[in-house]
Amino acid sequence: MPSICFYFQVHQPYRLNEYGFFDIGEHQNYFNTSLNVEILNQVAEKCYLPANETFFQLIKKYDGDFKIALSLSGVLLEQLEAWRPDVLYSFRKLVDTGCVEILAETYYHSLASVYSPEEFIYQVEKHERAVLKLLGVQPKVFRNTELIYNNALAKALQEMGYKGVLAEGVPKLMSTDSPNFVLHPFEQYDFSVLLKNYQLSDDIAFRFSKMDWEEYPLTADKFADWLHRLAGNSETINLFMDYETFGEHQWEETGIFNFLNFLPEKVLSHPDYSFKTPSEIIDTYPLRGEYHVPHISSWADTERDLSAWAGNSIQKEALRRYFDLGEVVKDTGDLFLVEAWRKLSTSDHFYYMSTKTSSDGEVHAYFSPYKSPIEAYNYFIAALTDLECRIERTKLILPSEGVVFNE
Amino acid sequence: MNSPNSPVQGKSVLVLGWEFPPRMVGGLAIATYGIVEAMSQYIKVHLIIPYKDANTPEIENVTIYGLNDLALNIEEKQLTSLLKRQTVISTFTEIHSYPAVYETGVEIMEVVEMEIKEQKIDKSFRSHLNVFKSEEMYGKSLWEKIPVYTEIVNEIAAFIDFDVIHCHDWVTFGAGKRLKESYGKPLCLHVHALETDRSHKKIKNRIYDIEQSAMEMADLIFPVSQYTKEQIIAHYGMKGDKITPIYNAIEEKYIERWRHKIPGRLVTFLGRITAQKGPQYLYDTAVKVIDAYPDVTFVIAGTGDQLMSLIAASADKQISKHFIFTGFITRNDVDALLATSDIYFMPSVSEPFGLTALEATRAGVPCVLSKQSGASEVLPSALVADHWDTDLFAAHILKLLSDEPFRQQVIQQNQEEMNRISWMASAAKIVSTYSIALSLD
Repeated sequence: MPSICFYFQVHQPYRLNEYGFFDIGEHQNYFNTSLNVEILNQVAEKCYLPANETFFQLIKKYDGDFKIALSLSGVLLEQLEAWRPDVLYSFRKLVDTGCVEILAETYYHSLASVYSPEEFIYQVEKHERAVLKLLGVQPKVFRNTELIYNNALAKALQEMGYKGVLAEGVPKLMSTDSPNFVLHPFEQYDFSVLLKNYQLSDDIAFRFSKMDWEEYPLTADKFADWLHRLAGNSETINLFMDYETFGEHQWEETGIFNFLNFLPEKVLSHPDYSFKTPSEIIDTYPLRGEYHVPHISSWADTERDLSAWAGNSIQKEALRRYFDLGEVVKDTGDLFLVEAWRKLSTSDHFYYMSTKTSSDGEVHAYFSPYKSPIEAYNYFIAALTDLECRIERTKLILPSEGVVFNE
Repeated sequence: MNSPNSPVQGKSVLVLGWEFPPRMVGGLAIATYGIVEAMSQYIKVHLIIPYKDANTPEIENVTIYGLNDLALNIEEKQLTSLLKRQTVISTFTEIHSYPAVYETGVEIMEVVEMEIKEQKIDKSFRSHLNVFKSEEMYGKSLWEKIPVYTEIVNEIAAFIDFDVIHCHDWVTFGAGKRLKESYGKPLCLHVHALETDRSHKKIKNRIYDIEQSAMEMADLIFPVSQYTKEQIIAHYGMKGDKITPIYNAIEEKYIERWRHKIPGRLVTFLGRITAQKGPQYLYDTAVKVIDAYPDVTFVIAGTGDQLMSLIAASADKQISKHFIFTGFITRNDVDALLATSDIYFMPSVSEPFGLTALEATRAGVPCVLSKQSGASEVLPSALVADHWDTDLFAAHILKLLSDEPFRQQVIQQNQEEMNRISWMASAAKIVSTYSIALSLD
């Protein structure tokens, strides 16, 4: 009795200003607010509002038989709250149907799980508080930034009280033949890992509108047929992708919303098939094998590892300097500086510094607001240098003056 | 107005320029303007440039012709009658577009390759002239512009009284040669930069050929430094007696010092980040300085094909904390950057002049310069080393960082030396060289 598990990632970073030498020490306007508002508005109109409406109608129509999961980063929730409360409300409305599970993640959509366990826990808890406040639910299942995953993360998540985690289904790392079963982490027999079926997920997320794809055009009929063919040897087919797939990466003109509208009916036409949320999948299916990731897997690039953010020397150096500053900035006791530091942790900043070429490079360039990886690096490093200057200055304050907040 | 005592009273010069304010890619515009304005005190100047508009400065005793103006104002008929004969335009392969001379914050121009093709100048000439309507000075159409410039200059010259031809850099040299052939007037070449500076010493490409053949035909050559004179003798086979160095100068300007909030001292590099500017020597020197004096940041201003490897090198060695890369920097920001710098560092492999060294001096910054530069001649108190001698560069920078009275002394001496040069003095030297060598009087 196979289930379809839809999970969509909803995230927009705070993109940086063209912050440079003459800004360092003068002001802390690291982020390009007008650009961020502009992009948020654009994505809201093209994706969030129409997609929310589509899913809301589908949930109503199938009366509990159609379900999805969403993960909204904290920095997105913040931006929606500030600039598009109407969109935040429409997400809340979706969650209130009871058919949308909200997943846990790091508030800043960061790489903290890789570089700073302490900071990771802080950011996850902060995200949990924001989700509870704004969406009214308590997440039970975790998904890390871009499905970054390894054995150690699974261990930590279980200790933090989660019942499962989402990960990329990298074939060589799983003991089963397909990602279509619930697995357990390495030597951890009471915790669930849901693996992305990247073949079928990417058919929608990346190939849907590719005219040179042999399967173009992808119809709901055809896709449901592919799903149905897996009936004998699958328990959960996990379709994980960016929420922005609907209307933003794949424009409305490609027919993506029509595809969505027809898909549940086609899938449910097979009596054995149903839609389930990650929590339901975990509660329903036994653990069928092991997902063993000693290093790191993710859903990014063809390597499906950390190289999208830490693949070249400038990324590594930016990461090193960034996380080295963590202790120092927290020691100042200046909450504004700490918050400024945290906002810079968003993984997108490092993603834009990638110098990969070919099709992965094109994806990096598609997302980047800057002309080149060099620009991405220079603005980031300048902002970091400003933080360093401010940290230095706090050390000049005599203890008797107590904690002094900047500005 | 002509000074009554001018040795060239009543004479006039036809100046061929390419960059001119407000069209500035690099410092060629500033230098051409500085020289032309100062020369106009002594001699009537006719200046032909590709592009002229309302923002082009008006100078007394200087008549400026812009080819874009002709493109806009001349009707087809007039144009074809102006061009009585048909002329062959050839366009060439292998051009890297022309790099700027003093280029601070100039974006590196793309390498352009064009197929060899021959086109007749005929009724479609007007469309050729249209290339000058674009604001781009170099770029892909450069090889189309040069022959059009040459031909139209040759035609315009028929309506101008002039006694001597004065060309600024290789882009105009072809036109200079043509004028000498057509009108038999003496030809002077002003050399702001050589292809052997931009590429490498052994280069023998199309641009080199243009420079070399023009030098052969020239009556006088005015390089911007003794260093460049030596380069011309060594690599272009010219004799020294027709070569007179004419130093660039800088306009006076008060620049207020300010303190950047980055802790520690700032060592600044300004310019295109290309092999000519010695980025490898810059980096090697920086590593040595940082090792001995950690409280220092190298500010690297400008962009170019070596920028990424420079950034990556500092990242690999985990010393990125000691570098700030500003990327493209506007001309206004150049003074602001220099006004907060503690040391100016120019390790160029080959620098015909290096106007930024004067800009640094004017902004109160002591210079550490490559010996292979013109600027080190006009600033003899600047600290110099051969461009490859990163030990000596590092020693100079460390000395300046650790000995403030010495640093102040270098600033003061450099500024005194800078005050000894001026565009007026350079112009006076040009016109007196005209008058003696060309027997104008």
